[in-house]
This record gives sequence, structure tokens and C-alpha cells, in this order.
Amino acid sequence: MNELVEIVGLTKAYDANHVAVNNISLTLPRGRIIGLLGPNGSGKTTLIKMLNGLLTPSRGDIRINGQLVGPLTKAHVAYLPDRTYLSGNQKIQDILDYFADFYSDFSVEKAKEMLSNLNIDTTSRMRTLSKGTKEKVQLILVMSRNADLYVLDEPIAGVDPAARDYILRTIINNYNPEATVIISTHLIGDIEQVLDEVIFMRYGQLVLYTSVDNIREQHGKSVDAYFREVFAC
Amino acid sequence: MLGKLIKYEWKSTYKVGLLLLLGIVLATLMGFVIFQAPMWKSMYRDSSIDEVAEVLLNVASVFSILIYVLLLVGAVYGIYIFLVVHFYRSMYKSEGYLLHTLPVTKHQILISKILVSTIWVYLITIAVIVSVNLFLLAMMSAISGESIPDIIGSISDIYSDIYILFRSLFSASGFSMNMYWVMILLSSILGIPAGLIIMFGAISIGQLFSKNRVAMAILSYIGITIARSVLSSLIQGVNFIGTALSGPEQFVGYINSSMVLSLVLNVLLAVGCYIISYHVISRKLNME
Repeated sequence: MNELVEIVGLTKAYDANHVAVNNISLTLPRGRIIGLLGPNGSGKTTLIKMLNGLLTPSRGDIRINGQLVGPLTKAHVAYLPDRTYLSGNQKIQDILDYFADFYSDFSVEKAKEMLSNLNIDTTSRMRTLSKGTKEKVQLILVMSRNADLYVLDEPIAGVDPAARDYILRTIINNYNPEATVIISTHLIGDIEQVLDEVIFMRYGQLVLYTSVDNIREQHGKSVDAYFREVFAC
Repeated sequence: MLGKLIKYEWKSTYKVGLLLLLGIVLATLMGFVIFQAPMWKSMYRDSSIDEVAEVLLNVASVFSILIYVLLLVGAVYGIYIFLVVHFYRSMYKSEGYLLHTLPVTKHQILISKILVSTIWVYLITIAVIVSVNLFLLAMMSAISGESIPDIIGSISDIYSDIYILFRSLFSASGFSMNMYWVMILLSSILGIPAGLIIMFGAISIGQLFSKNRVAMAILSYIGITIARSVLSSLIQGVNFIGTALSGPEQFVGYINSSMVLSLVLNVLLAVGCYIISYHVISRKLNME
């Protein structure tokens, strides 16, 4: 079974006038780094939240490893949200213990190594860290898991370009080849070189799901340039 | 996984809980020490005390009782407010993004929160009961001049007299003093988690709305409370007509049955609210 994620007829309607995700069907294989791209309000975060069970679909369903989203899939999905989900009172060391307790695929050693590479002190409390450092800590937590699916919502939006490079290297170096990474962003140029495939979304609908090589061969353009063409205002 | 959730729920609540317990201990000590002061003894048994000193003592005593009561009421309200805000923030705000992506079931999440919250309210309640008793003993001792063990002895004598009197008066009519105490104990033991589950349920109902979720949670809680009063009045009314009005000696039996009914109503409401919370986080979760 090579399919990791199977999405069938997925729809999320907040109310009659606001359909955030509209009837998406999609099958994602293992071993890919996939860019989830689209303008603001295209439904990227809504799709991601449904993959993680933070939103209940209005219709349709999602299977990961053949299982409907639930405790079993959550054990194998590493999710980086677009916000700080750690309490400010916690020390980084406590958070490492927390992750190690709940996720059997979490490696404390790996996390500590990455934290020390970035000179982040594990005895500091979350609230004392800058916004960018908080993002780095969260990314390290997520990438220190040996998950099947990594879902990263805007992982590079809030950090400086040097940290951006470190984060991208972390993503490439730390995921196992059997796993798939979904990265949502609108900073396409920065991550284009690491992507295998892209998903374009607009108005809650799937516009395109193809490989990066395909875009380059068929259109003779970078993903960034092609994105600008497809979503030209 | 439930054990781990309980462990971390405890870790994230123990600081505030301990602080409130410490507040109660300090308030009790303050009360105790104030009533041990020799000025009390002179106030109540020394006729030669001058008027100004008496007024000052009165003001001081009223003031310390007031502070004591405020501290205790603050601790009780404090723990409820803290637990409700903690539930809301950890379930439905940013921290919920981590909680709801853990590989645990929704029942485990709810049970860990209800269990730890219940333990905290139990601890605070026990501390308040012990504190009030110590405070009253210290006050009675100060006023009467008797030692605290003597006062405890007299109170238990009085209570056992009342107990014997009640038992002989009402045993024929179906009122049971033992039953009365069992019901008070049961109402406290079950009533505390039931109350918390109802509050948590109201917060969860608020999540069903796309806007003003906190306001809707508060309105839901008010709605549930009103519904509970109406239901309770109806049931107690029927119970009253059925028992108390059937004869004067039945009236005391009414006290027993009304306590049972009120407890049953609370437990049923709590079960309903648990189901609502479970439904919201498993089928209607809408993290903003």
C-alpha cells in the first residue's frame, strides 16, 4: 500500500455562504515533500486542520494509513500549527518530556541536538522566547518525531532568512524516506527547491496536483512563476 | 494514556490550586491567632474595660471576620473560575491544538479534566470546612474562655442529644437522620463533579456557535441553571403534594426524598452535559 493519505469528497462548510473546502478528492503517496499552495483564504489551513482532527468535515472523509482520522492516525501524524500551541509557563525540558510521554515516535536526543545547534536553552520558559524562537522550538518538536506524515502550516513565515535555511535543511534531513511532508506556505520561492509535488488550491477547491518536474517541463517555469500566472489578480 | 493526561493536567493546575489552599491556611491561621489574643478574654469577661478599647476590639473583630470570610469565598470562587478558564483555554484555544492532536481518545481527555478538577474542588472544600470549624472553635473559645477540647466535648454532647431527640421524634414518620447525613455526603461527593461537568458542558455548547463563543457559553450555563430550577421546582412540587400533604407526619419524609430527587436531577444533568461535551469535541470540533 503506497497511498498514505486518501481524501474523498472532502467538504467543510462553516455556513451556507462560507464553504472553506469544497469537495476535494486527493490521494497522496509516501516519500514526498508536497507544497500546499494557494492565496489567502483558499482553504489550506482548513484542509490541514481536518487532516489533524481539529475540524470535523461537513462531508467526505480522510484516511491516513487506511484509518479514519482519530487517535490511531494522530500517533503517526506530526503537526505544526500556524500558532503557538505551547503554554507560556512551560519550560522546554518539560515540553520534551510531554512529547516523549505521548508520542512513542518522539526522539528526545534528536530534539536536544537540534535545540543546541540553534543555541536554545532547554531550561528557558516558552514565554521568555521571541516569536521566531518559539516557532523554531515547535518545528524541532515536530521534526523530532519519526512520523508517517508531517503537516507543517506556514513553517517559515515568522523567521529570518538564515533560520529559514536551517528549517528547510531540518525538514529535508530529518524525515524518513517513507514519510510524506505537506508544507503549506505562500513563500513559494523559498521552499521550491525542496518540493517534489505541489497542490494548488483556490476558493476551497483543488486547482492542481502535480509534480514540480511536470510544471518545469510542461510550462518551462518555476513553481513560483507558474503560481503567479495561475493566481494572477 | 489516561494516566499521562491526568499527570499533565495535575501539573498544569497544581500551582494555582496550592496557592488557593495556602490562602485558606493563612486565613485560618490569622483567624486562629486573632482569637487567641488576650484582648478577647478581657473584652468578654473584664467589666472594667474602657469603652474606646471595646469599640476598637469590636471593629477589629468584625474586620478580621470580614477578611476571613472574603478570603474563603475568594478561594472557593477562585478555584471554580480557574478550572473553568483552564478548561476553556486548554480545550478550545491555542493549547487545544496540541491536546486534540495527541493520540488519545476524547473520553480520556474529558475524564482527565473532570477528575483533576474534581480533586481540586474536593481539596478546597475540605480545607474550607476544616478552616470554618477551627475558626468557630477559636472564636467560641475566646468568647467563653473555655479550652477548645472542652468546647468540642460540649458540642458533641449537644449533637448527640439532638440526634437522639430527632430519631425518637421522627423515626415513625420515615425520616432517617442517618439517611439525611448519607445524602448530604453523597450530594457533596457527586454534586461537585456534577457541577463541574455542567460548567464544562456549557463551555462546549458555546463552541457550537461560530461567533461570541464565550458569551454563548455563559448564556448556556444560565439557561441550564434556569432549566434545572424549573425542573427541580416541578418535581419537588409533585413530591411535596405526594408526600408532605398526605399527613403531618409525612412531612419529614419529604425532606429525605427531596434530597434524593435533587441529587438525581443533578447527576442526570451532568450525564447530559458530558454527552454534549463529548459530542462537541468528537463530532463538532471547530478550532478557530
